[in-house]
Amino acid sequence: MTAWLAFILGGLGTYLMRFSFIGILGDRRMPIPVARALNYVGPAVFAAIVLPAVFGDAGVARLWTPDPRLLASLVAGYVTWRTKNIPLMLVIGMVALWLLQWSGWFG
Amino acid sequence: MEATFDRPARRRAILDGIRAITPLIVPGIPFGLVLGVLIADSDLVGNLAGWASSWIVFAGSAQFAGILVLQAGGGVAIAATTMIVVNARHVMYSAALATRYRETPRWFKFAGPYVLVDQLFAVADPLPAETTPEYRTWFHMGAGVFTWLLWQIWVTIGVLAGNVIPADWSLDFAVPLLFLGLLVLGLRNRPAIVAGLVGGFVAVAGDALPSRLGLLLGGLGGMAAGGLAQWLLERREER
Repeated sequence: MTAWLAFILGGLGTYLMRFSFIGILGDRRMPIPVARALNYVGPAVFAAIVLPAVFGDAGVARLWTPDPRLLASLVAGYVTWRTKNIPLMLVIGMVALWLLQWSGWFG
Repeated sequence: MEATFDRPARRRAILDGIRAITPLIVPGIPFGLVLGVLIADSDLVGNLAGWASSWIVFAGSAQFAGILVLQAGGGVAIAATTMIVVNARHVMYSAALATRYRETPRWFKFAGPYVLVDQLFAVADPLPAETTPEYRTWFHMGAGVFTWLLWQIWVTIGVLAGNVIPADWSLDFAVPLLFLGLLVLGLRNRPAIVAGLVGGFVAVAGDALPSRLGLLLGGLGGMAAGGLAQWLLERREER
């Protein structure tokens, strides 16, 4: 019962957050500074998802001690920038990760 | 429906949505399978409740976090709060889309948010400003329902089939990799780069905080920094 209740409450909260502005608050004019900031939800949130995942437990120090994930990310980032092709970047990024992991250079 | 947006137009918008989101949901396949395995292995959650979370909550990382809390013996309040905090970024997605969804039909304002996941935001947000509300409605529903259906399938397979993916393939990396690609595509101007840098590094700094609060803080901080950068650029151009 605990799990059901937790999922129902968590699901209801999630739905209400997704509904919030589209369903209720959207009819109101946004204050200009907020409207400006909302242009950058994508880059801000996606970077906040990606960077901790790539750096891992090492945090920012990862920049000085690169591991396969960081290097594969750099390769994939470059591929995206040049080609704008998401399927291609996924394939090249994963292949780069496998090659780097199996290269034996990283302990 | 007005004559300007007839059935073929609706069909086209639905298919466009499906086509746009397809490459983005591929990395979710291993994620959904692994989530299913976690559900199957979690005796404190139970297979049926865990499986049902896929359509009750419908948010992979929040389901993952919630199940881990429950499995560790956390109660209803902690588990639900964790899921809500992990998903708090969806308020930002909702706010960013709201102005453009103002003219959409009433039913959509209730149905659309249910399927509004990260990947859907990533394809709906960059639609050109002149896109009609009708097109936005069907594009969103096409992409959203398609994503929802496939998510149920992967999780169900994971629950039933168990561990089919070897851990040493590092397929867990596919999801961050996808968001990296979406991030790079979104870095179209200088304020966006500022937003990404601030959002990313705030999240790294806050990575040790519980319930992925760092993600929320990074999102908010990056968004504010991007808005500020845009304002500074506009002011400089006015001079």
